[in-house]
Amino acid sequence: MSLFIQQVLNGVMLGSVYSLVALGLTLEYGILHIPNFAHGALYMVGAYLAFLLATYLGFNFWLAMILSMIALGLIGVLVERLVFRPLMLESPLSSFIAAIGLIFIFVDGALNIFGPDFKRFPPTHIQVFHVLGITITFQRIIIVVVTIALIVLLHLFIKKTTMGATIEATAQDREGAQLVGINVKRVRMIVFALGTALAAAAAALISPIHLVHPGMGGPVILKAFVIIILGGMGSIPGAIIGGFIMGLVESLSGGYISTAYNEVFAFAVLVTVLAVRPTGLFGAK
Amino acid sequence: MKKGIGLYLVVALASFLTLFASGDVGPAMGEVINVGYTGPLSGGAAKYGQNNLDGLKMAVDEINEAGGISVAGKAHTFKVIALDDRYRPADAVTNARRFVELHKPPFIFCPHSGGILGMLKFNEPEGFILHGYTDNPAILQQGNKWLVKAPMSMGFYNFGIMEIGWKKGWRKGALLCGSHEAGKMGEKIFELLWKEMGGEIVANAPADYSKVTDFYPYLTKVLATKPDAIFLYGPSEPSAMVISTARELGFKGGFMLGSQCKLDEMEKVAPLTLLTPSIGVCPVGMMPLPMMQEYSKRHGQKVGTIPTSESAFNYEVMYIFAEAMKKAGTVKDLDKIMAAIPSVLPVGKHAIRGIHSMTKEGQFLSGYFAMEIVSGKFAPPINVDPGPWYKKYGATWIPK
Repeated sequence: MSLFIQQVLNGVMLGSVYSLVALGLTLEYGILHIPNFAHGALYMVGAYLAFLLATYLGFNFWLAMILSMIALGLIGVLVERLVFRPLMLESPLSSFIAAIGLIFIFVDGALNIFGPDFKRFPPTHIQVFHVLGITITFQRIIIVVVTIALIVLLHLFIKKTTMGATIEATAQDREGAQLVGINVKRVRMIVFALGTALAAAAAALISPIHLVHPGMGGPVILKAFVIIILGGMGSIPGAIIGGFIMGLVESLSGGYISTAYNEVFAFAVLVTVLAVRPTGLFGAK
Repeated sequence: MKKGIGLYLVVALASFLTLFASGDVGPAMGEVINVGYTGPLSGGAAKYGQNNLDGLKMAVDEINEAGGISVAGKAHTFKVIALDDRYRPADAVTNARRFVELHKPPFIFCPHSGGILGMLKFNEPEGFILHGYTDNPAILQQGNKWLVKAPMSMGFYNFGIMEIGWKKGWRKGALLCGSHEAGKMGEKIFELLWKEMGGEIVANAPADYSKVTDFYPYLTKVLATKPDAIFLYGPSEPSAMVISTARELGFKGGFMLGSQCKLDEMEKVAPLTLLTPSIGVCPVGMMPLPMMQEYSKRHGQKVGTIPTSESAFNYEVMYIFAEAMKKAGTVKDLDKIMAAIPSVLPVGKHAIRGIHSMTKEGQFLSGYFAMEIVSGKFAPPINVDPGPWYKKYGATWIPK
């Protein structure tokens, strides 16, 4: 029993990180109408930013996380302004290729600046709690709590503010939004700032229990991509629920069947869901 | 029109002059022998590739600074030509073909088994001796006559570590190996040899070390079976993360670290107190070999880093090649050079890792040390003699 609860906790923790990354990806999808594959590379940049702030400048974990969210948000705006906006009216294929190009720029840039080595984020919140045969560290509790807080904040922002409403409107119908006087260009920038800031939050949260290296974004973006298809492209609840499903599938299948086939189970869930609901769990019909 | 011809003439003259200039330098330095290197110089394995190249370059620079080598009364110097293959077998093969066509090197160095296996298909007809830097004995199975290999077999390295663990009383072993090719092989070797010793495998949780976001689910599974020790095989830093995560989850047992885990690199990620108790391969800088210590100093001054075993082995092999050329009295006849190799071992003060003999398959045998981490400290290195292993299993043993 304790093994089961432990694996569920592990899954929830993992699901939190996946959800945050998938949320950013799904927001950007609503605007770009293509998956921004460079999102994983931006997640990696966020991890390096948090790492640099925490080690070289000696900031504490929270400050490092918030500053890296702001900095990566600005980088996100810049990416939108310089790369995706000029391609706005072109075929989606151009944005798609641009996203792939961005991966090379960020990953090889990190490789040149920081080298291929793994960096260890200074361990924070290392208190360990053992309850009834279950182990959890303080950092893991923080990951789950902060994720939930960010999800609630994002929900309030989108549902309760005018700016949030403009994002939803633009995602649903760009021309319609323009017709009612929404500044679509500004919405795009806000969405990119939000999406990348969420990626930075996920990266900063996971860094203390993981290693920072140039290739770290690849596997996470692959999972996030599966999650937004599973949850329904562009759907916010889909990204959240999908993230937790993926985390739980990974930890439970690994724990009870075999860790060698993690990805097989993840994709099996995806295939099953798509067979029943081709638009994904929360996708528009 | 006139101007055009003038420009043409100037260019032609300039290229002529450069040709002559390089021709001029040539004889004074002696004839130049090219040495090819193909390995990862960009991407995730760039550091590994660079470590290999550093050792080769150190040797060539030292040989050239000492005036090169004299073969049959003629002076020769070496020149390293390095190409990036991004760790891909197909690129390594392309690079090797380019070397053969443009530079005709008698020796090519490559640090990954995929590339080596590719090159073995044509090194005999096209004429070069290959140094395959890998602990994968599969490359020796084809009976290639122009192949040497400095790292010893993965089976032997890991067996040395397992034996020490066995003596410590560990019986219930668990596996958490990387799912890359070498990791799979490490896993099989451990399973087979551990059972042969009489041990038990209680859990197996392979993980893709470079892709795993969190090791908790893997370790929860492994620790539920209460193993005495866990065998890891993968890159150092993620391996160290596995250990620190396992300690977090309350694991008090030991770790047996496969040959890919480097203790000195792991120490940077997880403190030695967490690594206690562990057994792994002794970092090359800590081996009690005086010539190695000397090399370490020179390496630090010249390259700015502590040498790894990649650097040390490639350095020594380059010296072995140079000495074999001198002994054979030829820079062209590769059969004679290969035949001369056993008689030049060990290569005097350059035998930094102590290569002392070569098997008929081209496997170099050298000294090897294992190391334990006990009560938060590195214990003195333990000398493990490869003799008995190679007698029992031979150079080409791989678990099926």
